[in-house]
Amino acid sequence: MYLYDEYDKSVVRQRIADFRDATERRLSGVLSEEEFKLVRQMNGVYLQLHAYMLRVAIPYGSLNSRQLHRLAHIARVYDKGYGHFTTRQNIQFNWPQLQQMPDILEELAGVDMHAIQTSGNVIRNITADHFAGATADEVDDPRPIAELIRQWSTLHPEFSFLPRKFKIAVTASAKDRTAVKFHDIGLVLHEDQTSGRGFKVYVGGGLGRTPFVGHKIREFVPEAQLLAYIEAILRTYNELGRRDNAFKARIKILVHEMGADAFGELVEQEFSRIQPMVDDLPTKELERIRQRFITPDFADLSDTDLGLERAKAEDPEFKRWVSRNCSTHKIPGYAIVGVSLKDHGAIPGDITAEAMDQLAELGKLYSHDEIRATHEQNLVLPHVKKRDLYVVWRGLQAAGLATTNLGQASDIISCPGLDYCVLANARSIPIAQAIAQRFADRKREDLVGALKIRISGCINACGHHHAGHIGILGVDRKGEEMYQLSLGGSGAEDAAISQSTGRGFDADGIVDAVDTVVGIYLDHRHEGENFLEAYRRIGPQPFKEALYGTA
Amino acid sequence: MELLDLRRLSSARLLSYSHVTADDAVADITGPVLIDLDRLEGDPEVLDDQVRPIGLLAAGDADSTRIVPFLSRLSLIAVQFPKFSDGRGFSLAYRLRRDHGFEGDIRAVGAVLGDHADFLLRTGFSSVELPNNAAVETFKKRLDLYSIRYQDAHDLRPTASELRHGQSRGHLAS
Repeated sequence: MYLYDEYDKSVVRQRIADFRDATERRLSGVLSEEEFKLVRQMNGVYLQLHAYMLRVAIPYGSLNSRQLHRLAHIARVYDKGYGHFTTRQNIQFNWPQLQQMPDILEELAGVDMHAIQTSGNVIRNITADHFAGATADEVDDPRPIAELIRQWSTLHPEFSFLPRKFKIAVTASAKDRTAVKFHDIGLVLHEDQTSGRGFKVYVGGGLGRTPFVGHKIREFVPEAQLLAYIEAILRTYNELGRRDNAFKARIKILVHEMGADAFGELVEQEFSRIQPMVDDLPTKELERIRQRFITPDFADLSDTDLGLERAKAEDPEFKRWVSRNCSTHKIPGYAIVGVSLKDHGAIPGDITAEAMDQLAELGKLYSHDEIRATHEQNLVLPHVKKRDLYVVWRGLQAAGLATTNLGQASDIISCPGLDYCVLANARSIPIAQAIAQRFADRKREDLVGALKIRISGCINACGHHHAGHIGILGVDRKGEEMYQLSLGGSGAEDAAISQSTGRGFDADGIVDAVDTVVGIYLDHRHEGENFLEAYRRIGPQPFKEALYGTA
Repeated sequence: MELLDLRRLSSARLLSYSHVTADDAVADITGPVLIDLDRLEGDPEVLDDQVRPIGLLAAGDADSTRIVPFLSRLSLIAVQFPKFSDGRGFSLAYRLRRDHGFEGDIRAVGAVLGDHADFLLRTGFSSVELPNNAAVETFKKRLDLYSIRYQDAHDLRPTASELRHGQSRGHLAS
């Protein structure tokens, strides 16, 4: 965890004072909703279908137990007793009152949290690998870099009125858990014998109504010059990004229209102007940030824990959970524990205040006081000793958080859909619930194996349907909610955009269609082949025939 | 319209410019004049008058390289904000100061809000044109709202990083 210093605290406090003043002016009628919109958006406050919604930033998804307890407290006191984790590693509260928003922000500031820039046409929350600092497959922990970018992008004087929102992700692993190629800027830390440490830079990726896989415009930007390079990208975008049509205002459209090479060339020109002015401060500052991240004091353990092996042998349920939900840790004797927020039939990403409190305690006792939010709307206890896995599992069971389905059919990403969102054309949560119920039979879910189903309730694609092995898009067809099916997408290092199968289905039909598609996969798969691999081998035709017939 | 000097927080030393429209003859106007970029490009002899202060009215999306040929003769560049959500003017001002070393007055005009105040000062604006006195008061208040800044910018106040490392600005201090 990064610990705020007095300067970080001061920025957040002053921002709240500013927002409190604006809220009071709005409530007394001095500010119109239109004028207030600008201010509230930059502080994470949305006006939704039923009420104002507050989106709280969780930079790079990292939380400590105090912070998670505070989120639980906010859910209990200011909301209806729960919160909703989003695909940007953030949490949303759907029911607070506008007049209480400044107080909620004070509560957050008390634990070094904020809602700055979780909305509006600004640089949004910086996301990073949720296994950062725990996984063996990374070059280094990417979070200090993400924190450096967070600070640089906070209340940026030049880039706070961009053509459209701007999302940055950072990973340091070849195995991408951040959907790095579906970001406005995707950064991949890598190390090279001759050049040292630096970043691959992808730009212009994104989902939404016009999905694109990001283009690599630089193989290597030295770490010390990263902020200058990002500044060059942002300046180019701020000046040239379209402002005539909100649907064409994202950087991906600019990059697409002018071509990635031409865009990259402009960035290089700008970078060469800025570069001479780069001093050694970013390096010093990065070093300071690294020191303010608490590195867990890992114990010296044997990688095999006999107690764990015994518990797995005695309890098949536990064994199944370990194999599905736990991942390899870089330190011998430790594991990374995934916590599913996708209980069959539940709302993806929702968690009650009680469960947050229980998880916070488990994190404090057994995970070096760290909890992570993932972009797949789940949580992680990143540093758990293997010898503690059984007791952690028991604790998660007691909290209703031991659902064993990570990466499987019922681990669905879904946007809030028409139940909450002003933009949605169709409900998405009930579809996610119905599909998850269809796979409630564990044997079948295990048989199917790794499968990423993603559901969006409109073409803005907040449910990442383009990046799903199976993607579902809700549309409005003459007043009826219809669902289009697409296949073969990936948000990982092999990023791909899913392709539509053809005509859509109604709410019942789409659940059957998913079942049909999974059936075709099971019929055709080779030994050890997952859904995406099988789809890439056999192509869309067998699926289309099963869905629509051969005619 | 009211003017505010963002550095001195007054309007005392600011010049008022008369906007020259396409049909106006500059010779008929006395005192400082504000001229559109198109007019200036088509009618550069306006600049021959060595005494009169001349300002340029530039749209926020104006290419700064078009402005460069006139820079040495301009005492003001008024950057027009067409909508308060359109942030191109910030980059234009930043470029005029950094890339082209313009030291005259850069004034924000058009759809400018109190929320822009601090950002304007930091990207190199030196004055702002506001609709009334109430807006001037809001602006003054908001300029002092944030004592800590994370980014290196045109204003010379130290950044959080400089305060942390006890360093002062190297490349921007003149």
